[in-house]
Amino acid sequence: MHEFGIAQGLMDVVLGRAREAGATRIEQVNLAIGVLAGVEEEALQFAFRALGEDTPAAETRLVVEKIPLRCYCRPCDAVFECKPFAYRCPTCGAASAEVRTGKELNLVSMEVS
Amino acid sequence: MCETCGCAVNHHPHEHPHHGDDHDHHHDHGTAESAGGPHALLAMNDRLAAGNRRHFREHGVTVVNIVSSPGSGKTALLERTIRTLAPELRVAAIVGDLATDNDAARLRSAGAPAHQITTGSACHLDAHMIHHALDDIRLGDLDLLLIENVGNLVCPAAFDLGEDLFVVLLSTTEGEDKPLKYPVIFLKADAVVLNKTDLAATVEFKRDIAMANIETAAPKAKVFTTSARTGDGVEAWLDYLRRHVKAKRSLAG
Repeated sequence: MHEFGIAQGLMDVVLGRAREAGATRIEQVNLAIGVLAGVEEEALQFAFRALGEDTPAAETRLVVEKIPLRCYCRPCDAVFECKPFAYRCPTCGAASAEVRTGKELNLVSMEVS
Repeated sequence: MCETCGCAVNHHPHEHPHHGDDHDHHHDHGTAESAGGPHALLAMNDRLAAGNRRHFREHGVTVVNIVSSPGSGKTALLERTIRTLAPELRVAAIVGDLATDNDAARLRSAGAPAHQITTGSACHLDAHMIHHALDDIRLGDLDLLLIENVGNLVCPAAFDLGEDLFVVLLSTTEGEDKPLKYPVIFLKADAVVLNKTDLAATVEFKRDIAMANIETAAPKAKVFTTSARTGDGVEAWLDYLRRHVKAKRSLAG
């Protein structure tokens, strides 16, 4: 969707942190992105590369951990993994929209030198 | 100076500083080191949305965020909603579009103060835009605030505005499978409004399939079927709003 805006926000954070750390290069940035976050990794990678040109982020590896969608089933008191638009508990078949993971859009950590 | 977001002026394209993270500042060059801890990329929006929600709660105002594809009848439904509810409730609207204030003008004609946000190129409203629109809206004089989001079934899903109810509208002319094509936004829906029922026969709309798709993609949503043009089915939607307004008012005392 708006990966460029997301990438710009991310770039502001990581460049700011690199500056504060007195670093000249950002080696790696680790993200966690849920399947419901509406962010396509390929578009984000492209935007991050484009925005990072001629900055300490020019050669940064952007590593994305995809977080699956997990919902909570009340009758079973259990969390199950599901695909978007198949929110049924595999054990009892009950529908659930109580999302436990899958909405993440987080910078987890970064390495600079 | 705005105390919530720190802005000096009213409406303004700017970057907010990111802060609040602990940094470890000693470093020796040549080896990679960690810089800063975890950071939610939408933290700024979520923080401002929480602030909006607090304001709304203090004033006992029910806030509805309405999303749909372009042209499915958001403005028409809101016109009818305002015409009926304005005599009994204090209603205002915020409308988001990339350009023009046509929709705000329509809602004003229907009988409610309406604030137009023109987003330029932005594909969604965010909590910051709503926060600043509130400069022009006296929450103390309101029962119900209707927010008509930018016509888009993708991006508005990611941006909490501080609303009580997230409503997704779809119309019979769009086909039955919209809920399956845009699962992220439908999963978030508190209510789904199926609009343009007056055109259903003309476009050979398969209602049973659409209802099954809505139930699959939006398992927690209340479903309304309406024709904003004829008024058919709109009363149930209005009752839903009235109930929420009453409940929120009683919470605010």
